[in-house]
Amino acid sequence: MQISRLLLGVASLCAFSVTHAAELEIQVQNLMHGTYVGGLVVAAHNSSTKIFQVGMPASASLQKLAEGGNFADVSADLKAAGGNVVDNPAKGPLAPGKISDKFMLTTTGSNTYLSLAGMIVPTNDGFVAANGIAIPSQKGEYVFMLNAYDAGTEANNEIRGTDNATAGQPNVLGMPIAPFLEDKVGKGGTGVLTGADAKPEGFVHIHRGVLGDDNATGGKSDINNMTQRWLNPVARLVITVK
Amino acid sequence: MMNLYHYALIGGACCLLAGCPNNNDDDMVGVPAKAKFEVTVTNETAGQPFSPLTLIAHKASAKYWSLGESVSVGLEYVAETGNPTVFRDALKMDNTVYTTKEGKGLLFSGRTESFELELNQSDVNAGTRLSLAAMLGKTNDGLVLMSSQKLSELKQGESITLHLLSYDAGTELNRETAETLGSAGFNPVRDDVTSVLTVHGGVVSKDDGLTNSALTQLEKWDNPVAKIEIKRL
Repeated sequence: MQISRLLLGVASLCAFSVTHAAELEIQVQNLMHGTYVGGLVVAAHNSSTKIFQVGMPASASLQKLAEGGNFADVSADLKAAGGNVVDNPAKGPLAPGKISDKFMLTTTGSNTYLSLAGMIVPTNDGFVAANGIAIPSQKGEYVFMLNAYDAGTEANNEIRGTDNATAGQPNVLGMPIAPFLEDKVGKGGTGVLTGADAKPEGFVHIHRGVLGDDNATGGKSDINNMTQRWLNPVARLVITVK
Repeated sequence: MMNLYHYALIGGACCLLAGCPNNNDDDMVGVPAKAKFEVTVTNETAGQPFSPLTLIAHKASAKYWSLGESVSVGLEYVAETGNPTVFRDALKMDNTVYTTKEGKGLLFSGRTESFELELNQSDVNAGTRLSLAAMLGKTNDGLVLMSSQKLSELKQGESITLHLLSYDAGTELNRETAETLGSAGFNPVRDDVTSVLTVHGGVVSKDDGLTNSALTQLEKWDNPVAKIEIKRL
């Protein structure tokens, strides 16, 4: 019968379809006690796109994000790969415990994976990330706990750079300290790692944590060990599939 | 909340007014079915005793704390001293609570404690959740928490195992000094660097560079801190 053949044809088209557009409502929460998360980049992308791979060197784009909080190049990479990208949805750094406002992300085509990244501050090159979470297709609310990563591009010396203006640039050693952190981070640390020991690990890995110290004007670290250490998970991602 | 006594009364009244079609003493019509659970908690840390546990079976929509929000005074007492009295008194007045179970004393590292819970099947079907709170004993305001674990999906004989994170109540600065640690240290003034509930950053200890800390490396931990097995009996 003509009608049943038509129906069969339509059914076949649906079966072969690999696209799935979704309307996502997203929130990101910083779970850490005294450590901040810098501006985020969030994106839905296809299966062959990844911001990073654990065990491999970080891209130059990720290095800029992890060392200085600059997510522009990661964002551009994701857009170039056809991703649906939201820049800075939390409108600035996320304070400890703070949850971002809800923001929307509409996915298109075969962008069925979600990633995000934001610098962990204060660190040398730490960042929080979701690295290609499969976006659930069923409506509902889904919660993901995210861990802290180390980009492996800068030694974790845990002290301010000699010039704050350039400390966040790739291949400049030292932690950049934004104005909102100025009175919370110590000074005068000599470095947890110095000299020949101060070399980057060379690959992305789960952050081993910071040492810090209890000397705000000296010691080895400018990070406060009593207030600025963390344990995983460091962030909570809530995705509501509409 | 209906209980056995109410059902029995109603049954009795029906018999008096209309005559019972069935005078069988074994007739249990009107008695709500029960769902029984066994909850087993293990302290997975090396050296952080848990204060007496408070296990709460409650309505799905209820929350007794929230990440990113200030904690109640009752939970502050638990976090700073381990004493659950104020927290439990508040739960007794709370009609979102079906029942609570109380731990018998401290739960030391590596030790296990079990609880049996009997709930109305209808409540479980409606979405009863399980929460748990206790202090990490050798901290300023550290907590172990289970937040609203679903029960309805468990069939008889099935169990689920989960691991719990450690939290910082956000009420006391983590100085780790002898006078602020453990049961002595309640201070109504909240002086923490962040005043809301967050995931605990772990303790530093004297061994790891916090000079005035009364803690050693033995009291350090990583997540998770507790293992919970919930079994539907």
